[in-house]
Amino acid sequence: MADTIRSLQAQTAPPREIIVVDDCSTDGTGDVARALGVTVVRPPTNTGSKAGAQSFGLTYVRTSLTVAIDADTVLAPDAIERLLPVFDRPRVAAACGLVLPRHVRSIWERGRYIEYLFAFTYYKQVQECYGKPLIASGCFSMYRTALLRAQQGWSNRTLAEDMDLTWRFYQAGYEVRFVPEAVCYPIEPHTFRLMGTQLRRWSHGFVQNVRLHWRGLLRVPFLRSAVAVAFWDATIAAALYLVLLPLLALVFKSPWVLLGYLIDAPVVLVPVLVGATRRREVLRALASVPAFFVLRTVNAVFFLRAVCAELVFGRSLHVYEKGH
Amino acid sequence: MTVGVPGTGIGGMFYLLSALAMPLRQAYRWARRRPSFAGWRVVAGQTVMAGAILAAIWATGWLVGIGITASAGILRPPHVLAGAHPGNVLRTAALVLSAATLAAVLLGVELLRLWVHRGAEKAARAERAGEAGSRQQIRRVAAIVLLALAADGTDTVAAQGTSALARRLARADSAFVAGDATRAAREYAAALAVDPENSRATYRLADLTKRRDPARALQLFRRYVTLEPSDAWGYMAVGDALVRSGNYGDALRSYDDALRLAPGERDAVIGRARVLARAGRTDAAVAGYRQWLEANPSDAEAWGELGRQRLRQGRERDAALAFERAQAIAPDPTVARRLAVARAASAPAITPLASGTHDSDGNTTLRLGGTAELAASGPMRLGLTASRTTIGDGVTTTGRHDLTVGAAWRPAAAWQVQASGGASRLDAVAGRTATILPTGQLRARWRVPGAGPIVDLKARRDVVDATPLLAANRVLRTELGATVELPVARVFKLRGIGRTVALSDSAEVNHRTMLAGMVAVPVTPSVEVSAQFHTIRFAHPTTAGYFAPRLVQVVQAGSYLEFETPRGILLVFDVGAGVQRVAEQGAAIGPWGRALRLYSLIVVPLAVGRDLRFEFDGEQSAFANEVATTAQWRYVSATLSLRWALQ
Repeated sequence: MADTIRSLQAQTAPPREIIVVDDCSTDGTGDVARALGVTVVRPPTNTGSKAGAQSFGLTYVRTSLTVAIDADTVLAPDAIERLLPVFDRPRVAAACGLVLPRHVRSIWERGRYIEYLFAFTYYKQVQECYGKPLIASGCFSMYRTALLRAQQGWSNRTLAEDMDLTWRFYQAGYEVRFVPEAVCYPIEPHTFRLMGTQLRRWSHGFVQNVRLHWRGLLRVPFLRSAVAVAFWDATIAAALYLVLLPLLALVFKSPWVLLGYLIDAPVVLVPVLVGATRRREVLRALASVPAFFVLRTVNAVFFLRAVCAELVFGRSLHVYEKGH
Repeated sequence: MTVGVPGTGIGGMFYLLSALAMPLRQAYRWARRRPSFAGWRVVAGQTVMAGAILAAIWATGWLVGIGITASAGILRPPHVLAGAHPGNVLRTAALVLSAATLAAVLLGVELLRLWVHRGAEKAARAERAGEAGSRQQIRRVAAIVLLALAADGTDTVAAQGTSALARRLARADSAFVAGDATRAAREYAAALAVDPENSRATYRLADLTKRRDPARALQLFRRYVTLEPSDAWGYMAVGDALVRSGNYGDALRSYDDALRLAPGERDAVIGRARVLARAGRTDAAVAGYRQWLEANPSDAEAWGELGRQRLRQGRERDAALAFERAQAIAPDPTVARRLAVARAASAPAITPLASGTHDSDGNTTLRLGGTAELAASGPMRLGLTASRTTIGDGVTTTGRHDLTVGAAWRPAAAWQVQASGGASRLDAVAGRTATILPTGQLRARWRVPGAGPIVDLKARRDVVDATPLLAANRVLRTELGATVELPVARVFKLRGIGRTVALSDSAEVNHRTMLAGMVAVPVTPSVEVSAQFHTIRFAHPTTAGYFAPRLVQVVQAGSYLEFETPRGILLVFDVGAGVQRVAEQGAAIGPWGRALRLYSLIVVPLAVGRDLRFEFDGEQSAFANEVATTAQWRYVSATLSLRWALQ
């Protein structure tokens, strides 16, 4: 967290006040933050979720713009400055930046690195062009404080509070922007256990948000299509991906069918290489591509489990467990 | 793929087509002079990237086809590729299949939107027509699907609806914050007319309506829960609305749902305990508060509420401890007053009393005495009662002394047990020497928590002393009785009373049996009206001095009223009026005559721990009690006592 605070203090547009929410930690988080000269606030009891802690912190904000940032995320020196201009438009409620893993070492970090390169180079740019980024990332986003308060801050009703908030802004008629030049670097899960915890939270959070907002989303052009497509890919396509291809290979008695696993590789590779070239990380990206296919398979399994739990068996997950 | 969401399937095709459509969209916006979210450079870059992806897909298909053809001798190609170039089949099939699936999904979404928002679209269109004049907008599903990718046209139309809604909500929020409830409710209702699925407007409108129209508020809160099924506070709001309508069972279930969504959330835990308290499930409420306070001992409000429930449990000492904790954390005058009351209630006390009776035969009694109570110890309280009673009829005067040790035990709010034992010393009268007779009483009362059935069992043995004759005959009353009350559908209560009394003197033992049934309707929590039927039988006539007809039947209408004034004066009235008829032993039943009764209790708090208590009882009926002497017997009694806590 000290790195996070230092990166905030070193911003070209430094924040007027840095508020650290010490959600009743027992590891000396508050002391570390205080030693770096920032404001530390502590709720009377553990809020039980990131949303709760952030909403608690929001009550202490005295500025017109609020940046929410995870404790394990550091910012590029000009990240905040890059986000500021989009708030010249009064309808902009939130803005987010480009996310890249701080460490790219384990298979899971590599898989996530490719996911980020792909998503932020290709999908998110398209979403931005259509004025509907799917989500203002929870690890680093800037908000107009008044509108954030009007939405009563972050809600812990779903496990993806950032998605919930973003979609609420859209439904209230506000804009959310993506600024690829504003870069942040969170620490990504480096073990299967941590990755599993995060994927479990994200997958349940996505399903919970779709269930919660689907009626309202139908009113928001482009977003409704993007969410429907994402939901299809995460459910039906994931099931087909895991079950149908091996089944067809057995039925046709031909291993060629299994090439279906790689048929969309160009769709992934082209944006990844474009993004990596811009960052001069082509070799790192090429070395990480195989990990992406592993993560994609694991991701599909977690997602199907979440869909079954939330929509079929009615076992909604609401215990916030931090993976990363 | 979106990060964290599996990226296989039609997403690639969706974004590919979206990227290819971006130049068209950008040109359209530029021509209409509308602001663009991305510059031409970004649009060009994404379009080039989309073209590269298309080319890569084509090249991949071509390479795979070459691979399949080259390896045909080693691996048999699938049957579907027989007779065609494998590369062409693969790349064409991949593109056509994903494009067709994408079109189907997008078509499904648009159809769903038209179906779900069919009513709201009309309202939005009507509003737009009112604001901007009539504008014909003919949209066909096919056109919408095609435009979904380059969504400028639909964007504009839908954005108008969204911004109209946003304006309504902004006006409503502004009125809400300013405290203008009427205007805020009007604006939220207008917002809901535009978007019936808007959960925030639904919640706020319900919140604004809950006092004026609780039924409507409950309906809206339920609607909110449907719209926001994962919001624990929605379930709590439903629970609170159900409490206001007296539906405690459903309210608890709603709070249980809230707790499942937000385990450990204070509002849910404390709110549930409050519902339990309102439902009369005091023990469960106490358990809820205690569980919360074990983990959150600095919650002054919860300590205060626990104290109130402890008082309802009859655990005054524990109540005082809870109030003390609350005061230590956050001093509050209301809690301070309750603390004083709890301390006074649990402190040792003395209660001097004076009572007298008079009946239509000229018999009078005067009783002077008092009770001393020890300090409450947990659920137990001990006391000692002593009194002297003088009994006269204008000719003969006699008297008695009583000494009783009593204990009251309340292990839980639902259970009350009272026991006492002692002796009565009857003065020498009419040739009889002074006599000491053992007396005692045991009473157990159990109430199913939550306004459930009540069972009240009573056994007692005492001296019947209403007249000098009864005292001279040493008439003893040994009674067993039971009262059962069954609430029916929260609308009325059925109450049944059975009592058998053995009246014994030196010459005989007579038996009196009383059965009664009544239907009581609680009009408000403090007012109840009832219809009653009583029947009383004596085994045989007697010369001991009490009235022992063969049969008495009484039909009465009754009302029970209980009020507390702002000064804390408690007023209780139990009034009955009806008819009765009597059959003497060996005779036919007589005509109906009137039967009246009145009981009242007035408790005046003079100071904390000092309560003046006045009771009045008046009867004109043969069924009043065993001491009636004639069919039209009239009887009054009054008792004045002062409970003085020794703090």
